[in-house]
Amino acid sequence: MKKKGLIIGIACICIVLLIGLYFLFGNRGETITDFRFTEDIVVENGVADIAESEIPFTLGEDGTYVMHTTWNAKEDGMISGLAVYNPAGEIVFCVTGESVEADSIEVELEAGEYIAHYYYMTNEEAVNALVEKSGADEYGDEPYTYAVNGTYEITYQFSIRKTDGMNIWLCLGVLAGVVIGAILIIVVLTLTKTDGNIEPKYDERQLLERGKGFKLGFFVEMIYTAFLILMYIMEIKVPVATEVLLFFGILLSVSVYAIYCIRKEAYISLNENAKKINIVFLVIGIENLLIGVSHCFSGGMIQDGVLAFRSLNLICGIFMMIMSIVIGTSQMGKKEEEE
Amino acid sequence: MKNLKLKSARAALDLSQQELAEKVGVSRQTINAIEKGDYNPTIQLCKSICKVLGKTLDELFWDD
Repeated sequence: MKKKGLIIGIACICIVLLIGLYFLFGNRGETITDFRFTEDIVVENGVADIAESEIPFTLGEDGTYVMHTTWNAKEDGMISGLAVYNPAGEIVFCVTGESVEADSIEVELEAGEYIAHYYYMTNEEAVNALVEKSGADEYGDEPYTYAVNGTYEITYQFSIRKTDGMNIWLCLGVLAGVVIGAILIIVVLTLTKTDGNIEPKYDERQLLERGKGFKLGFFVEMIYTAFLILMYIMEIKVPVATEVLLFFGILLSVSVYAIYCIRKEAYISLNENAKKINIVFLVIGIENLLIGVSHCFSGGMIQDGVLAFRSLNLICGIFMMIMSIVIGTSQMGKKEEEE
Repeated sequence: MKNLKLKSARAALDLSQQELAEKVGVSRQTINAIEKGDYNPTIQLCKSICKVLGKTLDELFWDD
């Protein structure tokens, strides 16, 4: 008991210290400028009444910067472009599209007067001219619709943030996250054991069943990945972001493995407390469900018409709740089993 | 095929599946699976069970 208490105590102190360290020093840079404006652009006979807008801004010092811009056209037909010019008149960041959310790479910029130049384009030549001027190697392959008469109300946002790259404090912040994660896992592993050990102990039948479970999970992942590859080859598009599709495969295979082991009484080890394990699953499941529901209300689930990365909390929560139910029913069934 | 010999030897010593499992260091479900004939134990586990129940391998695991 003393050993367990000591581990939990040290873990708590470490967590508090590392969180403090992260918030004190692990900031991700300073936003230099952040503006937002809305344009009502009228297109008649394929010509926009406003061709461009210029927003100047000043960088007070040399450094590494990241630029971010978004705009969202409700209707097809208006292609917007942003080109950011440095004091020498060279383009340092350029992006075009009907609806855009883009970040620049980290770029070294000198102090001086810069211009964020927005172009409102209604024909392919104008888009190609801007892309060529920016020196980009590739043209976008989106099938744009050009010169549709109407009024376009588009809100543009631009920000520029100074970064220090991966400075020592940011590295420490990331390290803190990893350490906190590791400590939490150790604490949970210790608390769910009946003998205070971290390592789970399985008997020979359980090891055998776990091996079969691993095999089943592996084949599920392999078939799922083959299915994704087929979809890619056949150019079948689904409104789900790639990272969500890939992560779903991991969740699916891990769940198949876990449910197989639970059904075969090989998931909970000899020195684990099933109730505590189920509580951990419930807590993680509810936490993820709540975060997922909050994303639903804030509109973060769907981005650009596809199920975005933030939907993973909801998916993960649903999987955890399923596991919790399976563990619960398995434990209830146990009591009736003994002859 | 059910292992009734094991079950009766356990019952003769008034041991529950859980108690036998704890004595031989396996889960109760493993003992249950052996008695129901769903799992063939290794020779090591057979020996442990025999020692706890005071029986020989023949008496518990040899088919008549």
